[in-house]
Amino acid sequence: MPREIDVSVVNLTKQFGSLTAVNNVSFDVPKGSFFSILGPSASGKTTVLRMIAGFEAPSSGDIFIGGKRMNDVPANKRPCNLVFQRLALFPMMNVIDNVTFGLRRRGGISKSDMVKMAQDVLDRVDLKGLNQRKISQLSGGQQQRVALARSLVLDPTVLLLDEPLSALDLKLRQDMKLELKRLQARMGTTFMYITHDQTIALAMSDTIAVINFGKLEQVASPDELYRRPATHFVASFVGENNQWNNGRVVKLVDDNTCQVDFGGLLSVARAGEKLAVGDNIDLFIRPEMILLQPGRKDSGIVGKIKEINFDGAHSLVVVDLVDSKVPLTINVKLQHTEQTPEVAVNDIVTLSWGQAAANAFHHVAPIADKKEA
Amino acid sequence: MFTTKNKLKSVSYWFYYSYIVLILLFTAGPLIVTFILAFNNSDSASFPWQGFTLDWFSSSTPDRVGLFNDPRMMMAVATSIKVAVAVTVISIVLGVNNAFLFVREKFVGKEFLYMLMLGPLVVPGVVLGTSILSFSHGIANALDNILGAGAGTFLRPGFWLVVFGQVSFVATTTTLVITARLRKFDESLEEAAMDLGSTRTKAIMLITLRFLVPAIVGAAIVAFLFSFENFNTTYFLSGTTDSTTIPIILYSRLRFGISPEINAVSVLLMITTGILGIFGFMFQKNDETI
Amino acid sequence: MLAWFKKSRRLWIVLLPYLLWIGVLFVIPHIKLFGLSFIDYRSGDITLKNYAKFFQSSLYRSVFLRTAMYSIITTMLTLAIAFPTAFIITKILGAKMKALLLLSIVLPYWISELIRTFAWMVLLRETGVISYLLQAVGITTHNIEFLYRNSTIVVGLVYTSMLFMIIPIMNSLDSLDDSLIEASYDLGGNFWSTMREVIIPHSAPGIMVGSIMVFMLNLGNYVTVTLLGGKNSLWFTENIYNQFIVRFNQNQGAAFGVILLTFSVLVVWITLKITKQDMSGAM
Repeated sequence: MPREIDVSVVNLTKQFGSLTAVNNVSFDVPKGSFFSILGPSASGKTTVLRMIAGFEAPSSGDIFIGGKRMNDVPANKRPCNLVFQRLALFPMMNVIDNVTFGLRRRGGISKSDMVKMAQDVLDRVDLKGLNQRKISQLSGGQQQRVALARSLVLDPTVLLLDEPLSALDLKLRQDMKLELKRLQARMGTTFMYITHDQTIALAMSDTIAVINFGKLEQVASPDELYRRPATHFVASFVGENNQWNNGRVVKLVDDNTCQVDFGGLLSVARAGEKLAVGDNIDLFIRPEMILLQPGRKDSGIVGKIKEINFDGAHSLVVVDLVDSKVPLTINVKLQHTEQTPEVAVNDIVTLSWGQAAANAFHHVAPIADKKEA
Repeated sequence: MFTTKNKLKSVSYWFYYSYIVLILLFTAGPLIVTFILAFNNSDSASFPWQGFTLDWFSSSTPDRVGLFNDPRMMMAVATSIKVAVAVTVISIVLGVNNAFLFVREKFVGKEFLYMLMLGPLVVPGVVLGTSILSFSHGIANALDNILGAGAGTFLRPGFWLVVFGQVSFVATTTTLVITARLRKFDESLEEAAMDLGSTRTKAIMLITLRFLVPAIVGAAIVAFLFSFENFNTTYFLSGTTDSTTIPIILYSRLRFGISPEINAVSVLLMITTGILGIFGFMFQKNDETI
Repeated sequence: MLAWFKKSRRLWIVLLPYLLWIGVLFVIPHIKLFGLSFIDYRSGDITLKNYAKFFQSSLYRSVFLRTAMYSIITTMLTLAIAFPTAFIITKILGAKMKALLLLSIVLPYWISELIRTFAWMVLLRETGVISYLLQAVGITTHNIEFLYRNSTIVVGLVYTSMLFMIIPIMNSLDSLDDSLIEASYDLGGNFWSTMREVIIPHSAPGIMVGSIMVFMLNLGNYVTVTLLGGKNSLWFTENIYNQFIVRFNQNQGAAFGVILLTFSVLVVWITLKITKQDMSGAM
């Protein structure tokens, strides 16, 4: 049964002068889902959001919210609300006046009803007894909650969030991340979350749209994005990866699997897109999906440990591959279980991975600063 | 930026632009007309246009005396410059001094003294002028009595009294400008200079004052213009010709009527102020990138 | 004592010049002015006569009232014209236009108030430019005198002090994050509710500073008022001038000065009280 669609974007394009900020983007956001738009800075994700909110007019294409075309509806009449990146709480008002602001604009609601509605939402975001506080007297986390309550009290069809967590410090960000997800599940409101931080997107979303240079790269579940990236960019941007450039396809095993050659080293990989024998490819290998065994084994790729970065739960081991004709290094993440071998720098080890750990795409010349740190 | 930039936009933008054009017309229009009429070959400062002339600048015929051939007017120009230079120098020294006082020093009653510093800018110029006049009058009389007639003359209405009177409020302005800049100064730069072996005085000279230069130049331009254009306070404190500045002579002439020569004086002042103002503006702009 | 002075030598080096300036050129003259206002001009006795004269004379009282009324009206009119100007410049037009507009509004204000007033005389006098233009397009057939009217004084004062309203409001609007305006729209606000609830409350300190400055400038104005209003200007500052310069009655002039000063401080204080601003926020 197809799910109801809350937000639908069709062939959306936005040009600023000669710059195409958003290029023919289409996607649907199912009702009640947590939908993220993930992309590096200046990828056009914020422009998409601002067009949905009504602060930018599309150059072409249509926006539907709740089935109604929104292109000619001004921002203040759209059934969506935005949580701003820097929250944009009104400093001249206290908490309760901020939260009732939108209700007051609607009219026809008695003052006591407004306060009751606001109180109800404030309870849901776990913010009690601070109604009379000024915004400047609140902590960063409390301000986040007020901003959420201010929008949620209007019961929007979709809540738009423009990286509101990015202003918080790491610890608080982790807490709020989980809380936001729970809140969304509890309220059942459709959330559209804009972020450049893939860990946030992967952790919270039902669906993620990856956008780069104004173009949609892939729309999929976090799991799908992680396991089966559809494009070179998604493979390089989502999750951690070893990237080897300029390999060659030597054999096609089946539609999705191929054998690739890097300086004489042969390895199996998933073909992320349609590949042919002889194609020049880049290979992405997930460091956490590599099996590391001490010593030289019969099968697998042999290397020598160059450095070990110990980090509690994970240790990152950098290995120089000794049998390749071109210099190749690979990062391996070690999970600390009872089977994890103890290794030291200069040890000889054997590495192996399955087809699912490696994704091959046609070679793309690297662009400086394309991937955000 | 308001609502979606939809069809309404063009209508409201049309309104915004015409409003601003009207405001510009209001602020600049009268001055532009005055400017143009300085070059009209007519005995009255009005239209119709009767041809271009420089008579009101350079003529010396009995019925048309140009600005450059009007000795009293030229004298007033010279006096204004002298007064403005003196006021600027004193006010800048005081401004730098006060900036160090309010930014660097900690003492009881600092807030009060800061509020007090704003006083001369708030009090009406007429009141400021009269209070300084009556005070200096008393001191001058006392000096004459004690040291003999003439000892207090420099405190009688005249050049120095005008300078002192203007310094009273111009120094507030220079203090505000220079204080704002000094607040932005990272004191550790000065400490670094001392750490590298210079004395505190040397460090202030080499590092801090160097940093203050844009503010000092900006404040000097403002001070010069403030002095140059002041009427209210000066009116009470000026005496004979050595303290008759341009605004004072213009006021006395305007009470008798309008002559295109005054348009010529206006042109001169507009050009001077314009150049100084734009120079100051550019300087401030460049300063932002430092 | 000496040791203490030595210890805080650095403070005294900068404190003394300040005290000399503010003391000699501001504080002491005003104390003297205050003292003079209580002294009889003939006998030298202490008296309240100078103040009594103000309250007994219907002429002085009405001139004062007139000055106060026109100062307040002009301030409100200036605010009404300057707020949209500041708003359009800071929030509607682009950054490039902003610098240019600011320059073209600020530059005329660097030119002497006397020249600016003169420019209006050129326009408004009987044989002036506006009178000529009206005849040229056939609206009237004879010269019209626009000077020496109350409305002329109001126009002149608005013109003279407008910048001092625009700049503080622009500064306060500049510090208003555009996303606050967007947030208001996003939550269903329209132009007027956004103005009322977000923009005006945010720029209140700027509006306060501007209004206070403009009011003080109006109250203390001399040049614009006497030149554009002529003999009919009846501005209170003229009385002060006359007492000092024409009648040589320092004491009466001092009393008038104190009255003017007291009134302006009072109005500022009341305004701040009513609008619940404190001076630190306003400054």
